[in-house]
Amino acid sequence: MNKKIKKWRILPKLALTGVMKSGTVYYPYIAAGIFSVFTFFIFSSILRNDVISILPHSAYAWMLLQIGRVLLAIILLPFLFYTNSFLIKRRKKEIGLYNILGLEKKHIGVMMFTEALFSYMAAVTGGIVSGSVFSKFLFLLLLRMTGLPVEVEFVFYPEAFTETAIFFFWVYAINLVSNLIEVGKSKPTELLSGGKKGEKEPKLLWIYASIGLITLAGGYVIAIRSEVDSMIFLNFFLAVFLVIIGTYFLFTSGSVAFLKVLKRNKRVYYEPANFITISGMLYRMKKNAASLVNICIFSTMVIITLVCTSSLYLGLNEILYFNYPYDASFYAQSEKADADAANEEINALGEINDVRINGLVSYERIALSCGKEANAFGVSFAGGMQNKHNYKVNIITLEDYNRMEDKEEILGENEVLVFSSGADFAYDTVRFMDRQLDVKKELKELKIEPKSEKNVFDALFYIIVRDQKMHDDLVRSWAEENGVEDIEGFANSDYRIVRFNVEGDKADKDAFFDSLKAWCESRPEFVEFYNNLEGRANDMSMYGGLLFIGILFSAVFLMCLLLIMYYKQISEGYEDRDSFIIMQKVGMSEKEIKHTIHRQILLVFFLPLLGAVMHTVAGLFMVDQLFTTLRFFNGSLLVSCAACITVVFVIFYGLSYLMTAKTYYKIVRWGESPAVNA
Amino acid sequence: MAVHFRFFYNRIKIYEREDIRMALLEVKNVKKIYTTRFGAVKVQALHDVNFSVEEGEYVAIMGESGSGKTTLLNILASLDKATSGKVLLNGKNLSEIKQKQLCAFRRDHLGFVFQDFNLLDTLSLRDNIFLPLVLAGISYGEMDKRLSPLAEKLGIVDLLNKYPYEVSGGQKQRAAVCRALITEPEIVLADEPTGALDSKASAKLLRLFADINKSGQTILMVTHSIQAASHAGRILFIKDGCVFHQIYRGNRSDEEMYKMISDALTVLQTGNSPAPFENGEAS
Repeated sequence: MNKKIKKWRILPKLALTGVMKSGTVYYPYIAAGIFSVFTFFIFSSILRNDVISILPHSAYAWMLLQIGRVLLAIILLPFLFYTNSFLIKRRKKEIGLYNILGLEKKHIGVMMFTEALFSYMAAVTGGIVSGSVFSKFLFLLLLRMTGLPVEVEFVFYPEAFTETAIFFFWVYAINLVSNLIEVGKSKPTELLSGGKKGEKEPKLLWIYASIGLITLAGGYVIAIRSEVDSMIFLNFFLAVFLVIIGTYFLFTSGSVAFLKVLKRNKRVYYEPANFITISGMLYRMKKNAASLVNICIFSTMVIITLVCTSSLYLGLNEILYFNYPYDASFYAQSEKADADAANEEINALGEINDVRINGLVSYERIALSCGKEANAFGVSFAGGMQNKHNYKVNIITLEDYNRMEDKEEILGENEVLVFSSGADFAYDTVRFMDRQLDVKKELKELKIEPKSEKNVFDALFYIIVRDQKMHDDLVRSWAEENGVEDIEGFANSDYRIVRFNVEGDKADKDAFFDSLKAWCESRPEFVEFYNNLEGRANDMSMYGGLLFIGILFSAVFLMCLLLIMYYKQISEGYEDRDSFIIMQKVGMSEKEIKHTIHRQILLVFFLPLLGAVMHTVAGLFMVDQLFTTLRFFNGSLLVSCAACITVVFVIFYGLSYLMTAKTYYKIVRWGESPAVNA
Repeated sequence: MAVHFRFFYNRIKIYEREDIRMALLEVKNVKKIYTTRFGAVKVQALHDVNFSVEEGEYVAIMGESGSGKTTLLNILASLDKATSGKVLLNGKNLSEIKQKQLCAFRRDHLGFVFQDFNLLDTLSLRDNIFLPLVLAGISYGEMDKRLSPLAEKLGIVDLLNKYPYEVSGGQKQRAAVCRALITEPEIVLADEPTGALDSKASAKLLRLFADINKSGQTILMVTHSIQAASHAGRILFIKDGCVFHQIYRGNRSDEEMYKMISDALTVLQTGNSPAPFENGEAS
């Protein structure tokens, strides 16, 4: 009885020493666990904070965090599972030895349970403690990025702690179960020979290689050529899917196929400089392709995530300008409207509330939906692919235009001015329904409507006409073509729009907007009043939240990347150690060996980086297109963001390579004389 | 320890038979002292080793583990340096070869067969065999020409495209022998070549060694297996860092050799019995 108790007591001890002994693989696993808990806890504790749901304009940020946490869980689970499986592979030998020395499977089970418990406790404690320390700081960062008021108190909620602990309990439980199954189904001899297994040649090498090439090319073509239309999101996911598949096949089969071609050429292969490199690379690629694919995909994800979020955030002012060129707009029915009354009221209220009114414009316009074909605006297309050629055509008079823009344009009998908020109209004449008009000039800018060549998604046109008569003529012809019954009534259905900017303290602005809104709503001509400061604050909260999540996610991706890299270095190290000794015995000098192995390692590690950079370049085309739907048109900002982030990432990648390479060299221990090992 | 040796055994002098030919390999007064990392403890692995090997000889060096035979082989292989003494191969002193040229020297003049085969998993057997030739910059045609008769002789023609992890231990060792022979070395150094093989594969390999020797190849093998040694033309016994006995085959059969070797070993071992007493006195 006594003996039995002792045996059960020794198991946790064995578990603990096991963890310590294989520290090189175990500590990173625990560190990854801590970091995972840390990020999850940050998300949880911010989400649980009542403040975030009370703050004005925080709805978007809150929603993004909510989605972010789900995504985080989806990423962390398989990642920790992968790390764990690497770990168990490395430890099989030790466990096999215990088994042979007389530990039964159930004892090993207890041992593994203790280990899992230990790493779970370490991860959760470490993660939550560091999370508690940093969550206030990160919360403030979030508030700053989203432009939300910073003067709020951050409180810890117990739910955040329990949520985190429970989620990771399941993660570690799943890992433990998989370990138990893995050990349970294997025989001790298999456990002993654990890590070593010959690599099989991938079957159907050439077919897979071509599939890889074709899918990757397909993904790139879709990414580069796709344009903004209803299909773009589908295209986006298709491109991502194809690129991942393509990367996988190219790395696993394509590289092997390529090296085999080199190998087949006896002249090239049996050159001293190439011989070891080609055969070594072939072996490495067969063994490590999968983790290289992971490294490549994670790298791409980090770069793209950071590029998207940072360029959106940096381009926020432009986006806001495109979305809301003015701080406020008042839409009224023009036949009842008294333009002067509105202007006077706005100025008067401005004075009362101590805010300055800037750049006030007031104009009448009618918006007509037309189908555009070359220079002709006809009846709108119904359905199908033609849909995207439907545009809104705004008609305003020269008088309004000259007053707004402070110009003195003159138009002849049949002449108009044309403005497009998207790509240039670029025709000398314009056909509007049945009317043929001469374009005197195409305007390149218009105060009331920001223009960008890339605005394909919701471009609209302005036609500035000579006088009210011509305006009426055009509207009538549109009404006839579109079968409007009350043509006279329709011709008078213009809106009077007053738009302006305000300057002043926030409180004053709020008061001003409140009273102006009340006044507008009381008017008979009232249609709509827009306080765009609200809209901008919402946008800011959304894009700031995106950036915040982007940064946290990039950190998580980077951690994944670092760990995969590190584990790969370790497994390569153990293999190279043997080869190193053998090659020295067979007659290669230490210097030669160091040189060739170093070159192989570099090649193997920088292949994923090359892949990631190429994916990023192709991806940028698509991001550029996608961003136009968010009215982000600043291509050069996107490219410079991408360039900066890529450079920073390459540096980071290089550094993490150097850092992990240290472990590699420690394992290989260059310069150890083969005689000592013999 | 040294005292105990001089005191107890009359070391058997091995006279060089200068009447026939100049010796291919000469080992003169070789001494090796290992120093532990911090220099605190010095271990003398080889005391004063003298012997020579002539061209076409098949010599086995026997000794228990710890007797210094692996140290000796490493020195012969130029993988390690003697603390003092000389090793001459064809009259060339190994310790005078510069570090930079050592690899090339080893490649061109020595062939190695190891206990654990030392084949690279990254290369097919063919490429493993080619490795020393590729490093020496020999053309593919020439390599292929050299390989075919050798592979035939060693019975590995069908295995050449396989990888080391796909074949058995005996097959691996035969490929390793092929790698050692393809450079046409002056001497093949074999370190416990049957150590990792089963008895059947061992027997096959030893027959192979005898055949190779018959066709003129000089072989020096280190082993503690009586069976392995019984195939050799001459057996040197090494103990505690000294060569102190040798047996010539003459016209004896393998079985007779086996008997002689085991007798010699028994004598050596029983002769060792007073050692603890002497040890006590010496220290």
